[in-house]
Amino acid sequence: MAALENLFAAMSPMNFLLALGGVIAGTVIGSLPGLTATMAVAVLVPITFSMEPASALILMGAIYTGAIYGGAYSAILINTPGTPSAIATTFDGYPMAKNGDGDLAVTLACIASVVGGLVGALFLLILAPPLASVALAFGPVEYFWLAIFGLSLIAALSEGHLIKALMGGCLGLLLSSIGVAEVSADIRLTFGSQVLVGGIETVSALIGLYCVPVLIDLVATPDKHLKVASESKGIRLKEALAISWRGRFNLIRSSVIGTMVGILPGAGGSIAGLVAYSEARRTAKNQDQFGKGAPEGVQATESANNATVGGGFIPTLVLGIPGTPPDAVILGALLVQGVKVGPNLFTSESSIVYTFIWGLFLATILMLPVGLIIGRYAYSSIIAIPKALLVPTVAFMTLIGTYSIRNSTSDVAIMVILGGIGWVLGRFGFSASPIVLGLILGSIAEQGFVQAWTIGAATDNLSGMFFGRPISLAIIAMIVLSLFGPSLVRLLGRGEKETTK
Amino acid sequence: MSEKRTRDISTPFMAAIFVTIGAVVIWDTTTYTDADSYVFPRTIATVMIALSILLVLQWLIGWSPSAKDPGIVGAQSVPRRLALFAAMIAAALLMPLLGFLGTGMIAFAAIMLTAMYDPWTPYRFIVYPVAGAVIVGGFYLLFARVLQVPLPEGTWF
Repeated sequence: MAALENLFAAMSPMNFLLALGGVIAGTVIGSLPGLTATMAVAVLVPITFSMEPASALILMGAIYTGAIYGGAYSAILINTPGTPSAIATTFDGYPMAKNGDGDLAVTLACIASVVGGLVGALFLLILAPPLASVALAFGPVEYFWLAIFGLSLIAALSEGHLIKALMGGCLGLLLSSIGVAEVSADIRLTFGSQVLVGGIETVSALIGLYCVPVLIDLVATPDKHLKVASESKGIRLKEALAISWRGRFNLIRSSVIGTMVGILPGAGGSIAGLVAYSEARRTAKNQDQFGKGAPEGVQATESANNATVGGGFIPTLVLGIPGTPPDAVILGALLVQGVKVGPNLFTSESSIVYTFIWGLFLATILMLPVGLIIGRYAYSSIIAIPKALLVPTVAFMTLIGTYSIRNSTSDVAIMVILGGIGWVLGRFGFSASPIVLGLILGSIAEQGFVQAWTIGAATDNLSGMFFGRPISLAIIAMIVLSLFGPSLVRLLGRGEKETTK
Repeated sequence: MSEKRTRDISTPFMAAIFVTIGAVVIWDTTTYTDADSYVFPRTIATVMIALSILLVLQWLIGWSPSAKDPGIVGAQSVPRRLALFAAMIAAALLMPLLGFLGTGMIAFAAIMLTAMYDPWTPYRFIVYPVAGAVIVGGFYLLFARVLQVPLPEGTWF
């Protein structure tokens, strides 16, 4: 009965409107490059202070889930992830758009985001307390291996230039170490420049590396930005639903991966998307299509990053440890509301928690119509805008988006310079994705490595520290499979063919 | 019939650049006081140098997959590319002086001219600048007023 009461409370007209408004606001903010889900939630948090705790949570959850999905638009249509969570969406989303399937990619992303969001919310509803304890079992070394697992995706993104991709990954890792060292506070690789002391801001770097080269290439020819289908196909919902049904295992697996990564404090949607993409590619029959416009790639990343929303709330609500950066903002807002998070929250204030969880389900379901409508107009606008207006608009968005991250004009200059470097490197076969991967995963990898090394050295058990823990071993096995699995399968397949001949 | 083959010199050139970056990083790490600070960048720089050498070896024995031909740039407009890059850099540098709104308007106009391939009809002559002003002004208001981002006001005005 209590469950029904909470469900009805979540469905109240006020909460319905908050969920709808939150999803719309989040989707629009998330689609603007530079405005992350964290920023979307942070900007709108003050509105929630005068609300009931459950309503406040529903609004913040809706903004968060909408913003994570909104990042897919710019990732697909202009090759610039609106939020870091949508990085891996660019790998196949933009090629799909270039091939004239941008409308299909946007619809697929919407369906995948809804599925991911629902799976994450379901885990939050039924498995929150036991899953939160799994997060506590992750130590520095597990984070290190998780980052390496993300980096193993470089092999998949190498486009036949494995050494160059690895070199790009190394460059990204080095870029991530510019500034004040997180572990020991030494100032590194700044060469006396004050501008670099704060390090390279990840979101501005990825805006530069992904977006500026596209703009540079766009102005070089009078060709259209995206291939336009001869006749409008609408949102292609039927086609997208058929593809989603065929890829249902990929969707569910990616959603579960997203939830699990979301539970890990600090990991976030970008890592979830990358890990899910890697797994989708590893298990796919059409591996050679990944990176060239495989719908499975878009499905994997978009379901995984939205699943982190529900997953991230698990440690936030059960342990008081934010699972993702937006969760940290939401946690702060809850403390202002006087809600005491912790293991007792699910019993002492169960009406708030369960009303919120049902509200999250509601917001996720509302994302389908909202996402499809906004997506349709986003796509038709992008292909209808003349190049002479599209290019300066996108360029201006990169400038204002980058500036607003840290209110820094230096970040804007660094973004443009990195974009120029990315364009030059691209001409010589060094793609941007491995550099971005290195940049994003660098700090997690370094922190995990140095801490694990210190603990291992202090306990005189370095090998045991890195290779003796069960979760680490499971992740290492996944890394090995990710790197060598496809080659092994090909070799075995060739062997079988030869024996049958 | 003998075919004149040109050697791809971009691979060793790029490898040399990466080796230089790696060497500079290793040199920089010698100034750090704590082992925790230098272990990671030094290891990565060493790996990058090793990979660069491997790339050159691959190139020498002819195993290297063909790189994109940078010469293809010549078929497209290099001045427009440079103009776009220069406009964006100039916008970043002028922002503290001219303010965000002024810089945004100028950068938008410059990039619009750079990306313009169609002939300037009276319709475009009026609509495009107006659209630019509305876009820049709209985003300015969204960020400065709604999202409360403290955009630079400029020191020259």
